[in-house]
Amino acid sequence: MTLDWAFLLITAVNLVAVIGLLLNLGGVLTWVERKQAAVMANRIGANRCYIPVPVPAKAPGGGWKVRWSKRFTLVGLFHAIADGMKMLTKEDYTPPFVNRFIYNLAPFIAFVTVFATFAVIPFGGPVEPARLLDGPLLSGIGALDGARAWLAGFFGDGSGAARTFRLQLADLDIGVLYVFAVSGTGVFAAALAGWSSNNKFSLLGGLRASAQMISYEVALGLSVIGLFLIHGTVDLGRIVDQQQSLWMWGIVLQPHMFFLFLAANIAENKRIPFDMPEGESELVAGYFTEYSAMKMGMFMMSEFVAIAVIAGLVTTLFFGGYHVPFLYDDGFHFGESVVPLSHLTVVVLRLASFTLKVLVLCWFQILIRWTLPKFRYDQVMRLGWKMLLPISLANLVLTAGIAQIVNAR
Amino acid sequence: MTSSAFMYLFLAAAVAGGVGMLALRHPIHAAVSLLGTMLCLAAAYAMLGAHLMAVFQVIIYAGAIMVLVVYIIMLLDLGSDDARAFRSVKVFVGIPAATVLVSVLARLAWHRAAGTEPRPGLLSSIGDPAAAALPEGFGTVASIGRDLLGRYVVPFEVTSVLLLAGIVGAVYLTGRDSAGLKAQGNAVGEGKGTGDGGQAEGAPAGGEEFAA
Repeated sequence: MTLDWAFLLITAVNLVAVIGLLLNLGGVLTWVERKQAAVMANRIGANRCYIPVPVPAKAPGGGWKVRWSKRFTLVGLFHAIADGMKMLTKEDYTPPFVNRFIYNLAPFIAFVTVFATFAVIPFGGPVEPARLLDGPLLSGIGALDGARAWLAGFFGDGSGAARTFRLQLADLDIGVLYVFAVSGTGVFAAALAGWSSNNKFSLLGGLRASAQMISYEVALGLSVIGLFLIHGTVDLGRIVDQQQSLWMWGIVLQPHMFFLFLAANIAENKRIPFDMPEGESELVAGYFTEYSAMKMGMFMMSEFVAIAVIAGLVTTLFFGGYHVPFLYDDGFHFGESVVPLSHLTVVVLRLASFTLKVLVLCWFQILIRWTLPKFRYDQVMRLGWKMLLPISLANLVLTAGIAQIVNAR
Repeated sequence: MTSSAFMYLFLAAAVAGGVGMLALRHPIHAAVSLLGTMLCLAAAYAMLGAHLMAVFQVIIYAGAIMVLVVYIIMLLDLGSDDARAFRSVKVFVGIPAATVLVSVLARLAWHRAAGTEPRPGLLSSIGDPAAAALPEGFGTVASIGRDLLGRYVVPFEVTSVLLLAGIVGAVYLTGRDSAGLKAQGNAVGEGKGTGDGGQAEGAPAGGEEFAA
């Protein structure tokens, strides 16, 4: 069996891109959360962290010396790095009364499930590496001919035809079901963390987390079945393919389900207004009360990475994924007029489009977090079971009926 | 080669999880090792190309059933001592079930090794090499969905009625409890009733479900 080196290379690039995007976004979001809270509360916010820059200055007795007087703050983005360094270097204290194995296992479950969820989300359009260096500007540069020939040879299928790759880690037929399966396993992180800490607050937090996450998983799955009915598939790649036209975007087809899906996702992520499992005011820190240093950091980090993953999922299902309105594989189509674009431009535009949509949805989630007060526990349960679930079911029946009528015509 | 190495790895881990589930004293440890078994089986399904089965294994067994098991263990705060009550179950149910399973598998392995056809029976297709040739689109969402709502629609619907009966039963059992709680008066207060009250009332209800 010969190894498919081109496929391995593309997969490695995808892997680095996904993990890089998620880890960096997770780090930046810890700062965005504080900064946005500050802006919304008309404060200045997290801007104190800086890297000192040496400036040459005149010494009193003549001559020159270096003064570290200039501060490079980068609007406070270094807070994310400072946070990470603090958590990595703090004492990692394990209380003597915990159940060691499960206590140590729980943060890893939280981390792994969040990252694994992103594997099926397509974050860029189809790429044909052999055509990447074509285009009006680049094709004139003779120095790139060697690179072009190498790309065509390496990414060809041997018979001269070029291969197309998807910017997606796993193009699975089961698509979104995989997302539900993996994110559903994330319940264990909170439940086991709460139980193994051997602490009443943690146990209550863990119980609340598992009850809440089971409840909202139902609404989470049911709220997007309408979209699957319309698209006729659960494969995220195919769903994005069908959202080429603006009228096929999920937000146009099922606008009400966008709110339900987002609400259920935020509840799954246990963030305000659904932060019952953590509940600072009554449960200290809930299920991760007994965790310190980077183990606590892993819970926190997985929460922030989950914001990005939710944004990616909502983008894919409701906002056309990587698609830019009117942009097709060969350029912009406005009715009859066509603006041709090179393959590289289209690929970059689509990557930028996906990233932009994800960032806007991250911003929106943090906006919700700092706007709404938190629910009481019985309100959380009532919202999940008595509102989201019936509405999703009603939507399912309605959509199925409409789809039947449309298909019959 | 690598794929079959991974297959053996996952299957060995699944067996190890099963052994751990029987051997470990603490209910939570047993639950976690059972969870490991289920996830490894899901990985094995996925490697065999049955992605939908793998996902169902994770969603239903790992994501729903095991979560409930862990939840109940946490809610009732079961310790190592409580596991002793189930020892007789292990002996009187577990050993006969294991014997049947092992004997069936041994018979298939025997026929496979000897190169003979097993007598046609209920499980004969499991070891049949001819059954390994799969039709086009086997195991995809579309084909399983079509089968489930076409050929097997009656068993499918009967199963859902059975589950509905289970839900109605659960509502009846817990509904009676909360009615009794309401009769005691509203001294507990609305907010507190779901926290502490919920835990206290969960115990008898869970016990009844086990008894049933």
